[in-house]
Amino acid sequence: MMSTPMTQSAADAADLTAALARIDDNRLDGDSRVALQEARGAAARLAAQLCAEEAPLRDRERYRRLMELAGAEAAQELLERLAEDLARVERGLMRALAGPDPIEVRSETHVLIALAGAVGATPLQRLAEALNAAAHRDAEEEMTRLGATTMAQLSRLCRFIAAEEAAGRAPA
Amino acid sequence: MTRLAPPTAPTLLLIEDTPSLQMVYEQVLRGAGHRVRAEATGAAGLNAFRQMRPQVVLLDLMLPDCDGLDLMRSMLALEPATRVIVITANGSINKAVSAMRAGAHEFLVKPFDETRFLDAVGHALGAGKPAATTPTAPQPHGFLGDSPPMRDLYLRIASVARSMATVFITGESGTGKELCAQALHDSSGRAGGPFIALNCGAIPRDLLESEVFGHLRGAFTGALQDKPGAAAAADGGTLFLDEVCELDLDLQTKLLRFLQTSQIQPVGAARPRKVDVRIVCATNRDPLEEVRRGRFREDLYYRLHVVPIHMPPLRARGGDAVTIAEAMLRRFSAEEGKEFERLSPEVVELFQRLPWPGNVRQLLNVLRNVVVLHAGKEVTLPMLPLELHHHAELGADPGPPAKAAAATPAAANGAGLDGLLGRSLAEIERLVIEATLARHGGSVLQAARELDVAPSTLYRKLEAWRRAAGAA
Repeated sequence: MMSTPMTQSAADAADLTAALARIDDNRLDGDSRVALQEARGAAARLAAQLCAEEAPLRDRERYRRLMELAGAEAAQELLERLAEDLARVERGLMRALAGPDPIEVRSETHVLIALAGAVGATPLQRLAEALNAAAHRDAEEEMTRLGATTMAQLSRLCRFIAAEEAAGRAPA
Repeated sequence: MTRLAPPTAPTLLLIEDTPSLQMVYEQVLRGAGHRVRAEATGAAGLNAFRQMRPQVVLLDLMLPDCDGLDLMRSMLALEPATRVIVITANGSINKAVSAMRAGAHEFLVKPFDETRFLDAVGHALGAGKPAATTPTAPQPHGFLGDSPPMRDLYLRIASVARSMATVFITGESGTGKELCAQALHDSSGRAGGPFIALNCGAIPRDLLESEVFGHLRGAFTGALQDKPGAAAAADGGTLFLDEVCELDLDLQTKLLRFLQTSQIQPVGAARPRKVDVRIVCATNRDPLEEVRRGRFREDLYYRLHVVPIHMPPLRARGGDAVTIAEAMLRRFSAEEGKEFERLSPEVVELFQRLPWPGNVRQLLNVLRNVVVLHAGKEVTLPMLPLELHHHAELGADPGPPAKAAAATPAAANGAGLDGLLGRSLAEIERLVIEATLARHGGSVLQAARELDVAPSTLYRKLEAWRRAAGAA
């Protein structure tokens, strides 16, 4: 089972959000810092809007290759482990964002970057990178804003992996 | 297709706490014919390490029960020859750089890339034992001098040569940065492959991308045939990017992408291709200052500045100036059919006192000049070029060479003007431009920067002098 991949514009919005998050505020003067905050806010809103109805996978070839690497016998076990790992991150990130607790956000997004990237959910990987950068800066408002979009995309990815797992278990 | 590991294949130790990622890494390694033991915590990993003493360890830097960096240090303390490949996520590059400085063999950035992952393991298995763990290292080919800073340098070259880590060489012009890069290549497991050097400051910006990454025929006006580019030419060997801070920001982005993916996309090509290249780069600027000024990407800096090597200036190398001078005097004499054998005691004393703003390159130019223009067995003071005596008079201040002349009042008001008085302003301008170009090894970009003029101004003047010489 393979859903339609995410559109280019949604993926671009996630890339833009991650790129803006990487800029070091400390090197900017006051006006530029304010402008950067505005740009980050706009990019995060854009990403939230464009990613809202999108499927989680952008790079389907990467997902296909991952399953191929696991091999027919181990693919099901890999899907189970992925589902558990993603669910664990989902729970941990939800707890971390409630504070928010920047150290926990960094720890959870560290795992999420790797998991999302491994399955080809590149926009979610980018959002996790942006959230990780915001946590490094201890930017509370930004963490909350990006956290909501990241959680929504993460839920979609969890559902997608669960559906793949169920399809694999179903008798042929 | 999964290949069975031969019974004699070494077992790799994998320490990764996320079960799905651990499984993916394991599958990929087993699929490539490796034996693997996987652990999920630092404690279990260290325990396994004590039992196995593996040649190669793959280590996630963020573990639930300990800091990956501390774990790596513990393993290297037990078995210094172990090759540790650290794995980390994009937001923790600084940590990966710290790991490289603490002795990691290589670092990989998550998310996982199958090709890069297997390449890193292959290199680590092929790298064998470290080249030097003894307190002294052999003098690499081409180097002269055994002053303490140079002995440290030889040790550093020996210890990092066999790693895949990117090396960032800094140092003033004329200190031997390319020689150092060549020595790193010659001492590495890639010595049988090509060593390709590219001076980023000597190539016009609009041609630099195709010089580095190549182009296809018809990609732009004047691209009459396919050109492989330096990165492809260095496949299997080392690519040395000299004056890397001269790269413009667009090309820095492409270089960063290349470092992340090991793939190049020639100008006009539809698809990227993979190359296996170790990067060594150099600059005579302060790279961190370039980052602070926004002229050099910070993420690229961290990618490149994994193992820094600083080349000491000649004035900080004690008696090396005389050692180099005596060795090269004999070589130049043989080449030029002369009989020079030694330096007079006065010349030895002067050479030890000089600040050598142009470093070894300046010393070699002086010796070549003496050998070509004079005869005899001994080099004496009157044989030395006039400007060297001026340097000696100004030489009390061994400060940064680029600023030395301007910072010394004597240069503006006294001895430094003697050779210029009586000349026309145009002649003085030409002398200053030529001297500045010589100081920077002919780099118009660097000379223009020091003189605070546009490079085009210098190109225009050089062209006018060339035409005038042709017409004469």
